[in-house]
Amino acid sequence: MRHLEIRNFGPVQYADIELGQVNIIIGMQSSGKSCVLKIACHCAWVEKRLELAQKTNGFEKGSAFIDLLASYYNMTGYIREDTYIGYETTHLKFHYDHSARTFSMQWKTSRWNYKRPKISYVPADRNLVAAIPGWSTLSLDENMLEFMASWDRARRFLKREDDFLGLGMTYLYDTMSNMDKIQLDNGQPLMLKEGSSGLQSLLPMYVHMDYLTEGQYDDDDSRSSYEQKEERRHLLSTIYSSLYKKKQQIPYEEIVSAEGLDYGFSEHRHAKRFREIYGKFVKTDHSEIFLEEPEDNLFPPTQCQFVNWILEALKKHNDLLFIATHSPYILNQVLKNSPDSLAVFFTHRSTVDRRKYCIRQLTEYEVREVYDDGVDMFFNFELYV
Amino acid sequence: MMKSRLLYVMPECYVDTNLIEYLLSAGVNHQHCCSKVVGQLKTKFLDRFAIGIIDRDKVELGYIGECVSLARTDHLTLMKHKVKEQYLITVAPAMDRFILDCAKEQNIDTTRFDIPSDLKGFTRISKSVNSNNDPRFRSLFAAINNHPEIRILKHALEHLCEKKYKADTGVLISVFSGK
Repeated sequence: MRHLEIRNFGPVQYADIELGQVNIIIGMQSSGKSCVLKIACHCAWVEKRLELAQKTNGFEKGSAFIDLLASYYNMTGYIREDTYIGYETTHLKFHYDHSARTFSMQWKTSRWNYKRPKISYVPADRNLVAAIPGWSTLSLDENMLEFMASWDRARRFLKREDDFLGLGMTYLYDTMSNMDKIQLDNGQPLMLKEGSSGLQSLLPMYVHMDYLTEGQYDDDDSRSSYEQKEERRHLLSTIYSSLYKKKQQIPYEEIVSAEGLDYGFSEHRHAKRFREIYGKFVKTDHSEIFLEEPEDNLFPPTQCQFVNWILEALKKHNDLLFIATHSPYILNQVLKNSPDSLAVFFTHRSTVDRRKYCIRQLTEYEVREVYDDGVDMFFNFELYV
Repeated sequence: MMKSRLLYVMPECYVDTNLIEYLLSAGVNHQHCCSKVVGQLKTKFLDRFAIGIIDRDKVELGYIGECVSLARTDHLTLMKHKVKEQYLITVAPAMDRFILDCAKEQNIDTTRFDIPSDLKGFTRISKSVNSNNDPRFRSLFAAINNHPEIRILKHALEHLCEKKYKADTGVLISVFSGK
């Protein structure tokens, strides 16, 4: 369960949506699709910060919540005096009200069932990493810089991928020269920066998503900063004091040592559960991927191949995917695959203020109807307003 | 309030959609070209009842060869698939010309509704993305809804939507003859 409410942010006047495992949003250009995607991603990240820190972590200070969102995605001009964002999962709920500059949160009963996600926003201009060799020195938005850093990590991990997406081409990352290369199906080698616009869009997305859905679990990175260690100690003591401290009697049957501290348990099952909870907080369990326009520069059958591949890849770790698209091929292929937990959203003009947009979520029946009756949602969304 | 949806009714263009939705007082399944209409008839609606409404000025579609002509007027031709309960209404030469001709025969000056009376100007507006909701067209349709061919189109569509698989060819022919 993941509920998101947005009021008065950028072109979005109102959104009240329930996210599934696979989510897709369509709508006219500049009607707020990316706003919804970015806010959903920001809220997932805030939830992660709150869970790992087990405190409001500075978000409660004035407009910190919205300021972080605005600076990260370069959206300062989107904030309005009556902006409101509310977010709720099974673990917690929080909301930010810009008119009062207040952020408030509440833990829920499933607070300790949280599973740490790797959260990634994949921007539409991702092909910059392929087209501009010196991208790491450019001055860019934070979200783009973070995507570039993630892509860099992913390509260093992957190094080579044969016949990616069944396209008959091989991807190679040369660690010595720090260059990305392609070997075409005719054997001809090519630098990625010399490749077609389609390849330059597809490869960074594919390599990054491959890492998120699979590679990261084999990529050993146990380094942690002093701040992270301190945060983990705080997390451990919060889990222990909230769930177990009062129940334990000396002498302890089991001592759990973690992050340099010992925690005593009078029953083995408590110690086991304590380890499990902590493990879910510190080890990445799944990914939450927010993807802008995967169709960029791609031949329609390749768009369909990509959708088939990513929907299959998500199943390995129950990843969440949220796509903003202008492509009927992407939408139809998602509908055709009909994932179990699918949510389809579209933007439409507000009846109150025609310059603003609202977000509507199709019901399960409507999603089925759109597919079965061949409704082209890009031309017919008004039937569902 | 949300429109009721008749998704088995598939017009091919924005202004066509606006007219058909006006005549049926319901939302219909707009497809963005005639080959899409025929494609949906042959795939999504494979063996189901459906109605396609397309312009006649385009390339002759293979699907038309699978249909028999039931009745026609100056602009409209009603066809039925030889095997399936699927109907095709073609508009000749195209919906824009049809609407302009109806207006002219009713002595309606389209400029009253801020719509150009020449084909080029009319088409420029009717091909725009917003024309399937453009209130100017709704006003024009209200002014020409007594034109015999508009009434024929309306009554034929109403009969088909009401009876679907039990639509009566005799009734449809009779509607087209203006009775």
